[in-house]
Amino acid sequence: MSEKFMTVKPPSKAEKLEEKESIPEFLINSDESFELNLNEEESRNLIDRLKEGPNEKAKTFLKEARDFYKEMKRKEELFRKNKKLE
Amino acid sequence: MIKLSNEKGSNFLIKKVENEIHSSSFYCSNEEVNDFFYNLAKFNHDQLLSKVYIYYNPKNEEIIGFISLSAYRVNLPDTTKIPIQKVPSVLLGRLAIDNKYRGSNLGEDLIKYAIGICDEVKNLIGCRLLIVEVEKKDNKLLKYFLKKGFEKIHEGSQYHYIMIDLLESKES
Repeated sequence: MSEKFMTVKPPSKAEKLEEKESIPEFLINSDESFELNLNEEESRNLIDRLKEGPNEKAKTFLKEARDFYKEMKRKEELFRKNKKLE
Repeated sequence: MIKLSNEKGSNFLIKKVENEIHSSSFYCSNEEVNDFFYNLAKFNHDQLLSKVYIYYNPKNEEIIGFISLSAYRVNLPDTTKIPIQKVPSVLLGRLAIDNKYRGSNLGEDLIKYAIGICDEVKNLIGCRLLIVEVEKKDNKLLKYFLKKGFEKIHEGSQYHYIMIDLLESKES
């Protein structure tokens, strides 16, 4: 199909509401310990995962995160330069 | 809740804690976290116990949220069956968003920023995982992280211990 005829369906009200309701509070308050001890089974599972590398969902999120970080660094730099000029 | 005209293109910035935090309007729903922010964040930051990053509006210095990151290690039992005994990691120990901005998904920006910092760390000293300890009562947050590709590696009495693997695939 040519690009001319491709349309993106806007999210419905229900989809928008579902998306909004899935946003968590983003509150983390852990005890800031410095280590975690895994048992043998958990360790084997972890090693298997490390052999495979990040899963598909993680790869997508990591890419988004890396792009966001680069953009934020660029904005910070621009802000600092503008501040110096003021 | 404040409505954001365009989240992605917002003009908010992220910086390290630089000065003592005295007269900020930042307030989240957890008193312990507020207490950490006002009384311990700068000390921890200066003493290199954890590093604290603030999400803020550069126009009026309003603080939107913050994260704290620290060095962490995942220990594996010392048996010949398992080839490695420790996995160097970073802990996302604290994350909070001001009450006014709840529901605006800005916490995700801070998580992404944490991953960016981990990327820098991993290339300097080695660091394979970003770890988050999610309180067991917070199912919504756990669900969010799992949806983003984080995986559970341990279940404690109070927390789910989840991780994301920072290894970059060859194609990326």
